[in-house]
Amino acid sequence: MELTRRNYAALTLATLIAAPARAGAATPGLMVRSDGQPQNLDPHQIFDVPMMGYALNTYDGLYRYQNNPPVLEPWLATGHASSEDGLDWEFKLRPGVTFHDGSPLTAADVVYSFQRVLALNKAPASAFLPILKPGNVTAPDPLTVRFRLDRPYGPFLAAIPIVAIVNAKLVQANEKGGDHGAAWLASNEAGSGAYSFVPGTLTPNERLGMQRFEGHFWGWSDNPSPVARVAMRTARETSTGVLGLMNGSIDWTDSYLPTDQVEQIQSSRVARVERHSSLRTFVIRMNNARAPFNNLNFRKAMAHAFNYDGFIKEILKGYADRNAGPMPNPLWGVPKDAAGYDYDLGKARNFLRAAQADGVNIRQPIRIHIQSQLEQTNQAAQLFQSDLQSIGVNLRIVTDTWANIVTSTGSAETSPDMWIHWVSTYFVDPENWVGQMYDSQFHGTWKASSWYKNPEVDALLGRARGLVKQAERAPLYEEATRRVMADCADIWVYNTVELRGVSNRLSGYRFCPAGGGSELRWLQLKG
Amino acid sequence: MAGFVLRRVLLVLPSLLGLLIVCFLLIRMVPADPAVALAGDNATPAQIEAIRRSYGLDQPIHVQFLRYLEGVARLDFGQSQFSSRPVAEDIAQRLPATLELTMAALLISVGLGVPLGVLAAVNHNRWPDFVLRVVSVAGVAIAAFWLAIMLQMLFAMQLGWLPLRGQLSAGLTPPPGPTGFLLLDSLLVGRFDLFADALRHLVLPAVTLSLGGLATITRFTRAGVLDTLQKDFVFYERASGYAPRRLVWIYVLRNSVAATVTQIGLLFGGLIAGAVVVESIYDWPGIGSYTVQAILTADSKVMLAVTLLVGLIYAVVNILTDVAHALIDPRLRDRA
Amino acid sequence: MAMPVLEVEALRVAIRGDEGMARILDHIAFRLETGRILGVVGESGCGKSTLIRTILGILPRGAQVGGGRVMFEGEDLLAFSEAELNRQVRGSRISFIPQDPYLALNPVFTVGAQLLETMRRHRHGTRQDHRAELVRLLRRVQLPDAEAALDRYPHQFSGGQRQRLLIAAALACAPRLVVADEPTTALDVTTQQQILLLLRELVEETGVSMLFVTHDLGVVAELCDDLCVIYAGQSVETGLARAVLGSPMHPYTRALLACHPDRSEGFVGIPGAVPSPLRAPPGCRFAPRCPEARQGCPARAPQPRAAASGRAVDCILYDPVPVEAVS
Ligand SMILES: Nc1ncnc2c1ncn2[C@@H]1O[C@H](COP(=O)(O)OP(=O)(O)O)[C@@H](O)[C@H]1O
Ligand SMILES: [Mg+2]
Repeated sequence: MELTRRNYAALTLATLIAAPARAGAATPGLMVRSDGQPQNLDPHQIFDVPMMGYALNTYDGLYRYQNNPPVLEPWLATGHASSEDGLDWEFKLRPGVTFHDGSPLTAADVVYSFQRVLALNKAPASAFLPILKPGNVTAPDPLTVRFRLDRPYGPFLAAIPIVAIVNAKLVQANEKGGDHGAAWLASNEAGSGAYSFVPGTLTPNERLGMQRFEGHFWGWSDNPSPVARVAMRTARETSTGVLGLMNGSIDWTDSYLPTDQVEQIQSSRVARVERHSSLRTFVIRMNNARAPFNNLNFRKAMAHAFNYDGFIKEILKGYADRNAGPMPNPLWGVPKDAAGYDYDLGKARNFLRAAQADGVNIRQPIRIHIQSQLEQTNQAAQLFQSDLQSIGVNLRIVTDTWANIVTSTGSAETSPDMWIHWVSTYFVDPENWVGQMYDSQFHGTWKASSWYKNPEVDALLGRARGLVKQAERAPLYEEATRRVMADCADIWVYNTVELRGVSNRLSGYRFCPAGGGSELRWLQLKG
Repeated sequence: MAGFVLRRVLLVLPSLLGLLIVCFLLIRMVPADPAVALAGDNATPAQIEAIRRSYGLDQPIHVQFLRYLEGVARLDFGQSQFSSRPVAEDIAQRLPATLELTMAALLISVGLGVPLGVLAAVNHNRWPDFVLRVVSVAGVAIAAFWLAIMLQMLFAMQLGWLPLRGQLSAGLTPPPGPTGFLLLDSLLVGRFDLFADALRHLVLPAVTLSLGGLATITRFTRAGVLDTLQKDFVFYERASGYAPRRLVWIYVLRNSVAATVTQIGLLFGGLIAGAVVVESIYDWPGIGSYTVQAILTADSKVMLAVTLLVGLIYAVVNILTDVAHALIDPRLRDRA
Repeated sequence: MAMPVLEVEALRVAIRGDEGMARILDHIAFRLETGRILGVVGESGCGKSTLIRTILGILPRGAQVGGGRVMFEGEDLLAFSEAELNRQVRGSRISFIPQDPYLALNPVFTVGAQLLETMRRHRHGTRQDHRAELVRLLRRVQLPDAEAALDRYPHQFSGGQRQRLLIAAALACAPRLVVADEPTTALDVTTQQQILLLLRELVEETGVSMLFVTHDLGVVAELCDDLCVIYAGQSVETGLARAVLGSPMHPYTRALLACHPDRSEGFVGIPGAVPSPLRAPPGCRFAPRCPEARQGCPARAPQPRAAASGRAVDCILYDPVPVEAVS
């Protein structure tokens, strides 16, 4: 057959089109994740959900949270002991643990890692800075690490999993100008985790490759068909991620699927939605330092004007649990007797009248800032706006970004009237919620952006922080929470049900609120 | 000609400087404090202050600017505050992807738009002209993200012919090529499987991105050809018995593309802007999605560098446009 | 008598426009014998260019031929298809010299590219042959630096030089007929003289026939063997140029000559204006302005009468039975 130019073009086109049958088909042993990757790869510079999704796999910590509700379990450590006064802590390490480069993981690496976190002074440091001096982390022998705290700190153990243990020699070898290897570790890896980062596969924020670490200390005997390779391919639009899940090109989405996508995925044969109650609260903040929110009656009027059930049932399709206080319901330290506020426009009107009697100008327009990237914050604001309108309060919606809002929360004057955000689990302790949100010592951080100040609450939280035993701390947090709720500092809406789209190729999904189930070593992959 | 180009290149520098100053001021006007964003969740005010100092964000703005300029002069564009990598490195890694995408889109826009425009003009006020006029209005009106989703639904989901997203299938490793251009590198290392895979990933984003330009190019080419067809020399050429196809596609077309070439130049800027949307939808790892990320996280070094880059591309395309004009029309050459 | 190279018979052309049918040509008739130069003269807007377009088969959109024949070497060009005209007539057997040399050349191609394009299509031989032939022709039309000229662009030539280029181009494919549409109008007087001289020589050298359209009687007197006078789309008088100019018969021709002495002033001496083809009077279109108009003029269909040898005139005055006699 004579191949004319036109025929040739047609033939090329045909091969291009014919090849695809494989397009959606999965590669054996390979799992494709579309949830985001951390801004950079250094677990001591960043501590957020995407970082956990990376670092829980590539690094190990002394302890690790497992299961739901989360339980703190020994990981690199075999156990710990603390002194009666809560100042001295000693951790024993597992013997025979190796890093990805084959060198042994010893107490010196643990000491270096904690000192590095403190020296870099980035997000993961905030839990330790006030109580730990770098020189007070020591390694008396290769399998023992000691901490001496400046003062007793209740959440210390809860915060231990935050610190990933890095290969000290490897990082030190790549230090440049006293940067503690920050530039190098931002796009490299020096861990011991169940998966290792594949060099050369990184495009920041876009893609990253990991492969199973055969020599992981936990061993693989409990998993007959682990994931061999992991391709992280960030999907910017959730809809793209969901489509990818449905056509088999993605195996794993982030765990914040819009609720309207759940049914579609559940009805498909190739994928399912993993639904798990988490520890992640949804809060509408009020700037207590500024009129009209400096008036208790006005705040109560606002709290009664939000349609909690409508929001959860209609907009979230029921995929959330009403959470009437600042602490997530499943956590300890929650006062069981505190009822919170219900949606009742009648009560709202009454409190509004009372506020007016107090001299509050209830007509003045108030502004609520939403996060442009997070549609749910917009939906909540819109719902709130229409209810407030019916009781004569003028709410204006301001579209904003996380970076802007967080900057503005530096002072009470610049903080928004109201804004909406989630509080995720950074460490599983009441300190992560009521402690950092309502103790006035944290004013100026975004978490304390309601500028709530109550000396009694400050005292309760301070005492709880200084105790080590949960049994002693719990009643203090319960009381503090009760007071904050009575003062109606914010509008607490729900505790998240995390929704993650997962391919049916994967089984053995283990959810834990810390990390949101992104620890991949438990997963089994078929095909 | 060389002198002409040199003069233009020299003129670019002050414009870029002006662009930088404006951009620097604008970024400083946005309330977002990079130090706050940088400190991350749970940071204390003291931590934030320390970061502000270490990044020189506590200095007066003109000092910051001069410092930045000094860096730029050494081709050091600073570090991305988030990826903690040199901005230049990030951009170098991502630019080829964007260029590959925009070039492909441009190729479609021009390769299809010019012939369609000629077709419409030659059939002035007959049905091909009417059809193309409707289509080109639609092409301008249709939103890129809407088109993208339609294309994804049809070709990736229903028919399964083309990949949904990304630049390369997840199971494949990009070629270790020297240029960073996926298509080029896979050819250079002789990996035709990678080439085919990359090409298939390119189709939908490029088509989406090309649509607006396609409409513009069609319209301008049509207008240009219609105008030329009225010219005396076209009558003379017909009267001299030129072959009809050569008459239209060579002699008429070359006289008609001046406006089209200008449009192509303008379009290039538009394509880069359009890439922001298209790259986000198709998860294309280019400059567009990088910029979005930078804006959301107030990563000022990245914003500045991207502005500079786009400005530079604009300037280069502008010069190229002028050169192209001169190549097409000898009268301009003699004037220059 | 030998077959004429071109014979136009009772040609009618109308153009449909927004305002209705414009009957641009309403009975044109003349013949052009081999090796001769026929001048077609008429005021601006009388349809001279349309006549040329009709001969070349390149009419504007909406134009239709309402009747008549254009016999070229025994074949009716009106029956030719577009492809046949393109392949066998235009640029090969009939070539064209345009009115405005400034506008007729494609500004973005070299002169050589354009002139060779026609030869490539209509002549055998290699590109080198064509080039050599062109250079010879350019020398013949006295274009300076003929070799280099081919690689230059139109804007690098003066008007007179461009017209020489176009004349050379017209002869490049050894045509049987050259049609020229006011080729000297855009030029200054001196250049015009040189070009006319050149044309005359070339016709004599090559034996080609030429249809020379002009609004200038002086040019006709200088250049043409034969003459066809057109008024508002009607050919009113034809014959030997010397004879017609010496003893004009049609009242229009007479009026034309009477007011001619100052060429640049044109036809100001005739009262009234040329009618628009949209509202042309019936019958003889000159009747409303004619000092000798009769009652029968508006009813008289155009019909040229042989007057003397090779002479024809289309006027009621020369009809065999005067209309007045009947009434
Ligand atoms: N495309 C056209 N549509 C309508 N009328 C036309 C067109 N071309 C020429 N005409 C009209 O036909 C008449 C003759 O024009 P033309 O042949 O150019 O005359 P000339 O060459 O003698 O000046 C004029 O009245 C002119 O307006
Ligand atoms: Mg004319």
